[in-house]
Amino acid sequence: MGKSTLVTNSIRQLRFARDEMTQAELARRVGVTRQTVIAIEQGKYSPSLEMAFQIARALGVSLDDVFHYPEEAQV
Amino acid sequence: MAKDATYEASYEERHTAAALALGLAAMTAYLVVVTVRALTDDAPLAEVAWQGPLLLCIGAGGFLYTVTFIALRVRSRGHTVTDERDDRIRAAGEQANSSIVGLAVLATLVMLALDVPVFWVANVLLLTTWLGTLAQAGVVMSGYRKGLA
Repeated sequence: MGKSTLVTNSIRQLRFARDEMTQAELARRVGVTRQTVIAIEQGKYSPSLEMAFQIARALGVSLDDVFHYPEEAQV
Repeated sequence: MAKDATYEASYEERHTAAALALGLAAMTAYLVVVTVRALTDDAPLAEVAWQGPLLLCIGAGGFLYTVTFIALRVRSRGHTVTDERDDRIRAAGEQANSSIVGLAVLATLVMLALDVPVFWVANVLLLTTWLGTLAQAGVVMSGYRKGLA
C-alpha cells in the first residue's frame, strides 16, 4: 500500500496533445473511473497490461509512448 | 494543459468512509453503555448485561448502514462504476481483514476450550472482528488516498 512504482507515464502530456482531452473523457473511453485516471497519472496506481493498452489506444499512441521504465532498473 | 475537474472521492471511497464512521460510532456507543453499566451497577465487568446493548448496536448499526448505503447509491447514480483499481484496493482490504478475523476465531476457540466466561468470549470476538473491519477500511482508504502502485 502506497508502494511507489518505477513506471512513469506521459498521459497528461498526451491528453493535452490530443485536443486537451479531459481525464473524464479518457476515463470514459477506457471504461474506468476518473479517479483511476488521476491515480495512474500521479503514479499512485500501476494499471494492468490490458488497461495500459486501452489507455494507449484511447490516446492514439503506442504503449511505449505512454508508459516508461528506467533503463537502469531493468534486470 | 487539459482542463480537469477537481478531485472528487469515488463512490467506493465514500462508501468505505461512511461504513468506517458508522462502525466507530456503534462500537463507541456499545463500549460506553457497557462501561457505564459496570460503574453504576458496581459489578464486575463480566457480570454486566451486555447482550441488549450488543444486539442493539448491531441492529442499529446495520439499519443505519443500509440507509446510508441506499442514500449513497441514489446520490451517486450513474457514478457507481468500479474498475480494476477498486477491485485491487478492495482485495487488499479484505486480506487485512481476514488475517485479523482468523486471529479472532483462534482466540475464541482457545477461550472456549479454557471455559472463559461468555462475556469475554463474545466481547473479544466482537472487538477483534471490529478491529478487522477497521483495518480493512484503513487499508482501503489508504489505497484510495496514497495509492496502490
